[in-house]
Amino acid sequence: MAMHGMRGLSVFISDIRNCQNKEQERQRIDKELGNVRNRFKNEKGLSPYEKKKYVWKMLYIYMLGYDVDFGHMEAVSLISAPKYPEKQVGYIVTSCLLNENHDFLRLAINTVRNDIIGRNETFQCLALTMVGNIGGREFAESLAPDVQKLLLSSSCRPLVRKKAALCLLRLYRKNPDVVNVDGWADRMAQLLDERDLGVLTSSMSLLVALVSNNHEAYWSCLPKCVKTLERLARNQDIPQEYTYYGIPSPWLQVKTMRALQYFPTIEDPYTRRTLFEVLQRILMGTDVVKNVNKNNASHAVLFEALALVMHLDAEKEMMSQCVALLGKFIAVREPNIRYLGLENMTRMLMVTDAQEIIKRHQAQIITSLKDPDISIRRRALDLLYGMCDVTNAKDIVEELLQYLSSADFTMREELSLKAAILAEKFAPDLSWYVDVILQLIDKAGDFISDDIWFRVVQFVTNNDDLQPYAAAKVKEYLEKPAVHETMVKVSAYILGEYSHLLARRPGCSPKEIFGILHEKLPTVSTTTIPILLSAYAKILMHTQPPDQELQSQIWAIFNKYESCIDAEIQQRAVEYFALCQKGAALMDILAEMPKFPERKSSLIKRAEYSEADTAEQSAIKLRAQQQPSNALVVTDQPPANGATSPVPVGPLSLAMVPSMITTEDHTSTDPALSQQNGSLTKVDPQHPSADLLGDLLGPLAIEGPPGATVQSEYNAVSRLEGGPDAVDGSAIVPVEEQRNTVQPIGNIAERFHALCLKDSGVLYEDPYIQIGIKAEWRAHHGRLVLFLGNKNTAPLVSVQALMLPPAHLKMELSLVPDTIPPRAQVQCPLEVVNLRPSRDVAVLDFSYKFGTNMVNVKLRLPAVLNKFLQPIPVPAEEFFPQWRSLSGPPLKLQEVVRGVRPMPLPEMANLLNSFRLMICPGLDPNPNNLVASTTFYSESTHAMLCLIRIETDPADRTQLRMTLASGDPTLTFEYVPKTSHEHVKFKTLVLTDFSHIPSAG
Amino acid sequence: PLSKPAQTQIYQIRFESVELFVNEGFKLSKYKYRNRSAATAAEIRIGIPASVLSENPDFYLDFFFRLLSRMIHFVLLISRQGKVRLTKWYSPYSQKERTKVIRELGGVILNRGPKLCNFVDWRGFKVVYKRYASLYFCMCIDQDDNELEVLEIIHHFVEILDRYFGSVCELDLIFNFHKAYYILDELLLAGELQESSKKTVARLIAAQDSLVETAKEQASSISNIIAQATK
Repeated sequence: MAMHGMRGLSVFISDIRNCQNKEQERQRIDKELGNVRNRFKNEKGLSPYEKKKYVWKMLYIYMLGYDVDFGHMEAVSLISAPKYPEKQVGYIVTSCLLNENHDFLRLAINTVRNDIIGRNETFQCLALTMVGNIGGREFAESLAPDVQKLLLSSSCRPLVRKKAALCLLRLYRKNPDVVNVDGWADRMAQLLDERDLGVLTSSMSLLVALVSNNHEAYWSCLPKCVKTLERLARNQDIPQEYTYYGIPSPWLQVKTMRALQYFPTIEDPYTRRTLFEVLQRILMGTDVVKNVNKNNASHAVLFEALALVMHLDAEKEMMSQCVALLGKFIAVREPNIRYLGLENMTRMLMVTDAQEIIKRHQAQIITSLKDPDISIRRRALDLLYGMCDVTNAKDIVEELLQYLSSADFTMREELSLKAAILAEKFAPDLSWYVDVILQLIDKAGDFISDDIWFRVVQFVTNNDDLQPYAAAKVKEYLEKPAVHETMVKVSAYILGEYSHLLARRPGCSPKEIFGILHEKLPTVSTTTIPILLSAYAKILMHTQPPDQELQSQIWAIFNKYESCIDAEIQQRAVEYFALCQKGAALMDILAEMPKFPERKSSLIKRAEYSEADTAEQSAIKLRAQQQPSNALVVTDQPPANGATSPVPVGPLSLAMVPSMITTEDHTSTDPALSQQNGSLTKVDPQHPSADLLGDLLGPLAIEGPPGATVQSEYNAVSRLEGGPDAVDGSAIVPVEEQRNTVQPIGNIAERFHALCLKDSGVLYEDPYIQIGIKAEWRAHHGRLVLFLGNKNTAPLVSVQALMLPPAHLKMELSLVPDTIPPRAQVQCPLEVVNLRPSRDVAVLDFSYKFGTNMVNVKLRLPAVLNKFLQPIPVPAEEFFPQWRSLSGPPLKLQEVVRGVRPMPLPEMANLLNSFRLMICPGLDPNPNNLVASTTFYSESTHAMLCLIRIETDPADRTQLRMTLASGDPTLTFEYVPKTSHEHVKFKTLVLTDFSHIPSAG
Repeated sequence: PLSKPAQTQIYQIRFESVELFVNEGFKLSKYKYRNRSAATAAEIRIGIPASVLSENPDFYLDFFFRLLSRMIHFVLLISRQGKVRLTKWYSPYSQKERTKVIRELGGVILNRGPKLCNFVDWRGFKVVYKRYASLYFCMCIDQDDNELEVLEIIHHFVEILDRYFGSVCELDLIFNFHKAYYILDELLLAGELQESSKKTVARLIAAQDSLVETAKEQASSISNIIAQATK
């Protein structure tokens, strides 16, 4: 061992080590820094040896965590020293002290370049190493050609070339333009024939970076990668020094398999077969051995092989082999393998069919949730979350709940959020769901956000069967000595609404319930008190016969809070007190809350859009990715398994359906009455906290008097009937062109109308661009893809697409690139959710620049109402009762349409079909009439049945009478799909917001 | 065939980062939350807050490509007492970030008991570490990188140190920390493994040593000549 020690440096290090405490160390270091600073000031007197020594001292001090704000210049200047020892120190210290954004580095570029193009190979190595470690964009721009030359040079030795390969990799990461795709692919392929394994390893790293960005250009490298892998796996012609514990360079094997994962598929059958043989050999031939390092190395290769097999979508047999292996791994004692087994199983969930096999290992995975190692517990949690479905939700969620009490603080939030999401998504029954959430609040109340308990309230309100159960449950929790404030909130709400359902049970008299609740009041914050006050008012109202004692008690409380400093509390106290004086009228005012409209859980939404920092690649993310992401540009492929339903329809939402269809009345929801008591909104016992509240109480039934809404909508209808052009005139945003000198090809309006009836076609075209559209509709969801095609040989720039959605549509347009390259087509997915019925039309504000031409068009998008219809056949025995039950306006509307272009009945039937109405033949005894049915979907109404009857007059075919009926009586909206060729007007009734109707009866 | 999972993942990584790129550059805030952790990662790695970055899209291009790469972001050697024995940063971290990273990771890793696995989740990254006597060797990698491969890079490094110093101990690395840097530079470059042959690394280090020795001898012989000449 050649030690060329530096005495001064060693002495300094010893001094530091001998310091008794931090203070002493600080003093010693300050002294040294002062010394070094002085010496650098009188630089002339410094010998190269001294300079070296001081620079090393600086690095040492820096490493200990002290600020070294001088001397960078000296370190950088050593780079240009003529002799190796100084140059070496200059390069190494510079690359440790500075990062790529440092200004001083710029000064060194020339020197570095001279070393790279010089003839001295040791200097070349030093320069390449520094650039490879800290080179930034400027280095990339000025040095890349020289570095490439070294890499390809036949006269350079491997030690230079391998550094050049990795240096180039760094420069490529800084600026991908430095590698010219066209010329480089062949050279890259040649590099893979390299004999020296050091150079080959470095080149493979470079290839991984290149293919990850652009695999198309590097197809020629694919067979070479397979060949390299085969050579390594068979241990053919591998020098002894490149085997690691008997394994031919495991690192190169891993790198090669990584590169292969960036190619979407392998088409050549020979290459594919060879690769599968190698993979099979790795999967089957990796044994657990005693030597830790050998084990790790061989398993590093094995796990990479697993990833590659998953990527290649191998045959089923091979897949199940993989799962079997992973199943073995998650049960071994070695913690690393167990960890990786769990992690890779989570990745495996993305693969078709794997979920069922993985479920067999559930017990073992649950055991890992109790592992002493938090890293392993995290992986187990991710996996359990990812593999949960209706069949195993109960077991998994209960395990999570149990674990919650003993879980580390750092994991609790994630754990409770995940448990809440799973409970909601996969609950086998609603009482279980309520149990789970109450337990969650009990055990981890701090981590239960408001939306979780809001959700419970929604379910309880919407499911009558659940109400007594929930009320009894929360009462049990409230009786515990220490109760979390969130529990008080949810209990107060539920007991206020439903405790009267328990009145006959022992201990559940209004007085007792009030007692239990009121006991908590001194312990809660001002956000909870309003909820308690509402509960008191409701309890009082439900007390029949009235209890004078309870009344005076509660009135006293209202009195007390009338002067409360918190405005919300004060207002409630004042109003409730005044309302209470009304006696019997109280019954109507404080009636039970109406059902909530069905909606997507904000929790699940949250899970899709955010991930905890701690678990970036967690199963939450995987799950979110399973849903068709609009980031995906490859649109022709159907989404991966599990992605078929964009909104998870669990049993919870199914359980909701009956309450939507049934028509039983709810006490006070007579529109007239609600109108009288406009102040009813105040009864809503929520504290006014902006958006969380919005989610729960958004379109609440009693928000506005429905009667009034009906009125105004009727007005809207009559306004629209103005003339045949009503749609065009009132489609909210007229199509217009601004500053356009470019004329569109074809009629924009016609194109729009055509697209209203079909799902793909051209939306807009002019001499420069063609915008095509392709759409898929499922219930109230739509997925459109805009195809922006540049027709020219010059790029279109400043491309901008802005969605102007009407209020009833939620639209999310994925990224639209600023520039469309010549002759290229860009696909931009657009997600649409229909929130409620409306005939407003979404508009795309699209602009681009071609040369000096600024083109801007506003295009109506065919996300129109009939797209959310789903034809449904209704048999006679169901049709007639429905038809009869929906009697007269506003449930049923009739209108005579005149001036229709005469057409034979079958043609009219076809037309109805294209509007997605299902003709029900034979229902109407009159052969001149047509009867059709359909279902309308929106987020607020869900599936709403809609029946249509068209009566034609054989004597005068220019007029017809149309009758429409639907389960939604409040509003009828006309929809006039009009195509310019067929001057036919059709009235399609469509219903609106379910939430605004009290009941259909 | 159904879309291939791994491929899908890659596309998503790619396009999510583009979204982020667009997002900050063009202020489309709706993508912000989806990429929150990625944004944090960008902040950590570049060492400048995202708000500043949005003024300089060059950084984003840079970030975008870093996201695609799987590399070793830094190497850290800390003693059981939390003293730093070597640090090497392959991704740009500011001085402040470096100090913060060391403090945080020290806390996480030194507190882990024996017989646990060698991997720790940390701020959206993964840290692979291994303890040798009183020293912890740590390397920070991306979430989906190959953990065991990196674990054996650590061991490979230790074996090379061992061979060079002859049964290496912490003291060797304290007093010859510059040597450790030389050796590491022959092993890793640009956050990637450069050489997997111990023999080759040993040969290259020996060659460097002899270069330095020769230079020293030359210097001393010249000084001899001068000394003699001035007599």
